[in-house]
Amino acid sequence: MTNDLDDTLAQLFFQDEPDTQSNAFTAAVRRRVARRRVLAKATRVVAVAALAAAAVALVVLVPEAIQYPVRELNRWLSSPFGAVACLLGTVGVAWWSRFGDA
Amino acid sequence: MGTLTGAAEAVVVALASNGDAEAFDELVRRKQPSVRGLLRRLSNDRTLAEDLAQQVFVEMWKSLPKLDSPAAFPAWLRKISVNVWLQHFRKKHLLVLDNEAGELVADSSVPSHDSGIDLAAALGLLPVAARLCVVLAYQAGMSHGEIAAETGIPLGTVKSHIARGSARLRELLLRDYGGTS
Repeated sequence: MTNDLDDTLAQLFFQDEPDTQSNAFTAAVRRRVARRRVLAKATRVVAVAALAAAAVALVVLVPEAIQYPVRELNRWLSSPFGAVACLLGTVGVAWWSRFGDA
Repeated sequence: MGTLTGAAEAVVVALASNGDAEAFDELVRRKQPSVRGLLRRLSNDRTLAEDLAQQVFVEMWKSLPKLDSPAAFPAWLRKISVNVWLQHFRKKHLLVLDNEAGELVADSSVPSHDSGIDLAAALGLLPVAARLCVVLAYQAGMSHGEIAAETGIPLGTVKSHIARGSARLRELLLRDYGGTS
């Protein structure tokens, strides 16, 4: 779809184009981007530090919490379903190592 | 003068989207006249336009890695410019874009007079949505359909804004520029 524009006005827009080339502007953008970059980095550092602190607090305050996944895995592997899954996994790996790349 | 001064735009865009700081600076240098010019026309406020233009380039820096094709860069940057401007005006609740009747919120900071004014001042006298459509059509060279798609204004309203806006601009400007109908 094309515009039905007024030629005289189009000419005025063209003639009245503001001169907007500026090194100060480029420098201002660079400063803003640098600030954003520092802020993003700081946010990542704070997030990682907060996660680490939470993990340490969990281990110190509720030591049994860290044993929970180990206990659960042990229980699951000891069950008949876990045994069947291990067996199937072993067969799968053996098959793949023999025929997988063929 | 940087090493990328004479490089093709697609190359500079590809480098910038991979995090090359020099390429990003080069893009800012190349694109600032069009972005700042567009935002000055839209905002009718030099300081605000400078601030919004800087925001546009910060958005460009954030989103450039997601740009699929360097060839789409000019239209993509123009879209960011329009979006930054729209977001600013929406935040200030100054914008009602899809009003067919054209009873739109005008920029109250502009004094109302109708003689001896330049293009910037004449644009400032248009309602905001009409100014948006007129500037995108005349300055950015966008078609009515593109303006409708980019701004979310219905096509019929875009046409009506451009027709009325152009007529008003002609009234305000032509005697200064000595033009005829």
